Amino acid sequence: MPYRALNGLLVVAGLVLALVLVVLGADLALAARTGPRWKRRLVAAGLGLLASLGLLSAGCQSAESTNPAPSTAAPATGQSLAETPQWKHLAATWTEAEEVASGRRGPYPFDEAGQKKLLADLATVGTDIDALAKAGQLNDAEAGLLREDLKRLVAGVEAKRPTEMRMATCYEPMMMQPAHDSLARLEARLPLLESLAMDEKIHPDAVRKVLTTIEADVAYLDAEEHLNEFPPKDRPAAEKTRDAARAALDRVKARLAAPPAAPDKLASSKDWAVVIHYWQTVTPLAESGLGTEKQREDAAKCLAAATEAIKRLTDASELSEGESGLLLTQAQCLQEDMYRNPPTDSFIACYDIAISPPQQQSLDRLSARLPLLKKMLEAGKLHPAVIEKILPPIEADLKQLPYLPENYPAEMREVAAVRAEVEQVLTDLKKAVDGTK
Amino acid sequence: MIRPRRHESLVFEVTQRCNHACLHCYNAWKNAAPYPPTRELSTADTLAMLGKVLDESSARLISLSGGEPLLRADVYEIIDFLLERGTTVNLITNGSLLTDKAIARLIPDKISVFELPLLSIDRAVHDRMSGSAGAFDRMTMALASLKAARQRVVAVFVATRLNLPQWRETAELAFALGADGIMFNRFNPGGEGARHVAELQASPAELQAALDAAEEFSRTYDFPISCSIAMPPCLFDTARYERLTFGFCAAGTKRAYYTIDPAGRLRPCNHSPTILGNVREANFWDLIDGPAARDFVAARPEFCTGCRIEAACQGCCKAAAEACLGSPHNLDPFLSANAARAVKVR
Repeated sequence: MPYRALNGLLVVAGLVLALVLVVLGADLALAARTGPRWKRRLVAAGLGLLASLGLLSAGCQSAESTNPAPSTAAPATGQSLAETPQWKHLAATWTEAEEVASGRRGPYPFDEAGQKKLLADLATVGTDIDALAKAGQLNDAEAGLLREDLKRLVAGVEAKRPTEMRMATCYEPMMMQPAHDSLARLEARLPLLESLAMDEKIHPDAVRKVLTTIEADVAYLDAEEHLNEFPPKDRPAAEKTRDAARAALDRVKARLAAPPAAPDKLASSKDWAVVIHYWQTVTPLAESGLGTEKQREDAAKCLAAATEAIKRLTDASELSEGESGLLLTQAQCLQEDMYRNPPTDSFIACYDIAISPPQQQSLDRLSARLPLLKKMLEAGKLHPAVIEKILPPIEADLKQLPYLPENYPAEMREVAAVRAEVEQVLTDLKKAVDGTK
Repeated sequence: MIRPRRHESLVFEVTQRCNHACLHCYNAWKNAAPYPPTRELSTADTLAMLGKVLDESSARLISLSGGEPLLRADVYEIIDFLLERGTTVNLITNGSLLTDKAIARLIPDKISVFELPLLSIDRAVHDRMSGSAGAFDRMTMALASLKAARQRVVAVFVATRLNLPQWRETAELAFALGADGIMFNRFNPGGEGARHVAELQASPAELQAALDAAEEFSRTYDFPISCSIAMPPCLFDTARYERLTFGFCAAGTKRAYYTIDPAGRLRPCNHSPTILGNVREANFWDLIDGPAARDFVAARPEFCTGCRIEAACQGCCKAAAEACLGSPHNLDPFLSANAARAVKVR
């Protein structure tokens, strides 16, 4: 405790002395290096406190800042090495150059004049070493080592740019930190990459290449020893980022694995317009189940035309067999829905039309569509326009299934099996459609 | 203690041939004023020429440029030679020839930084500016492959009227692909670009808005963005950007990027058409201390007289003035077109 109190007193006294020296206009850095030991210690302590309070900084070195002047006189015999003017000059210049070369004074540690001055000082340090070696103050090995280290310092000082050069980088690649993918950067990159991949802004092969680097990062973070490199407080965030990265990777990979988008010629073709016309004509009639004889006749004509159009599109390879099969099935379903009630303008008795329960109709339809859906997926050619047409009624039929009576276990098993298969195919289809948009 | 005089960095135009036809290309041999016919030296002569200039200049960094440097079959020998000489090598390429096989010949770490153009997130715009169909896909693939090989890559965005609307998204693309930074270079007329000024040159207001977006992007993603082509402080309030770094002309300083063409002719920079002499025939220092170089360094447009930062700024890009208006003493054409809005720094 008394020792701490003594240190505290020393710092306070140093601060007072430093302030007095400032008031007197003295050079604090020089005062910390010269004079009696007690004074150097006090000033150094005061400077330390000022620096720790942020009131003092190394700042940019300019030509005005001085190291002890180099001495041309030979070191006196009997003088200790530390007391020779050559060593004092060497030590002061060395400290400054070391700070500059190490980067502790930042990327622009001096102005041009300051750099020139420091390099000139370093040049005379070579002379200092020669003089000290000649006087026997340094042996050959010491002098040799110092000369070698001096070369390193000179190169380090030369490599630093003066403040005037802060902006002189035209065309030259920027100075930057070594490449590394920090966790934060990985976290930020992935959503962008995912979005670019989903939008097909970049070629899938390029995305695959990028994924290899991200996979490597994720694999790195899988290893316990690497996770242990994080401070305990940062580890949960690292794990969270890794898991998010893995999930995003899976999504992007699924997107890349989806069948390629089909050309967009279909949507603008005349035959497709015929198909659309049928859908637009029949859908309201099918939904309501109400229609006149004339409307039903027109719908039948539309269906014939649409059927021919679908066949032509299939022959021209604009539609896959799976797609055309589903469209024809769906067109037939719409037609049947339209006929589920008697025409609104006739007097046919209600019992003339035998209608199976809606749930059974849904099951039958789904069972009929399932092989076609699978075939379509396997064909690997998907048109969003087609998918948009066929998906809603399938989903509507799926909703009907839970209402089958529970006292028919065999039927329920069949329903469950069909539902599972259809739902799986629908999921795959939706992924594929998302990818083609 | 005697230390050899040293010049930090040089640009070597490996070849004048190119497989792209960029609208904004500034190559000096595409200027309206004629450039001497240039025959590529043999491999042996090229290495001898580079060896001589390295001996004389003690340069520590060489940026290989072109044309498209990878079109030259002996470029790998040139790179190996430079590395043996202890030189750091940067490669400025359009990326079209950076196949996996080519990259395998450049790793590990033969190239310090790869500079690749990323002109737009829109394929059509990138391909149009590059004058080459499929350039976008080849470049993005090259960038991704380089990052997969753990190389350092800087994407270069040349800001024009055509691609500025997509600047933010293009920066996102560069970041997502793993680029280590972006150079946001305003279109600087010269060479082929001088023929497309009306089509390409953006206004100061458009560029300032892009700088605002760049600052925000750099802050959001902690992503380095440098504006290498000088943005004249009399037109742009550069002081308000904390994250962006701005380049000024380095002519006359240790970091001036003296440029050597495939025949050994030395120029003050890669944008300038001034030929200082041939490094095969003359000493490097004699050329850069010679009258032509001194005139280039000293050139200041009259417009800049009285500006406080005239010495540091050097009148924006004197090479562009030279390429478009015939003399480095003229005013940078971009500054000239917007002189009425310029506010001198007092």
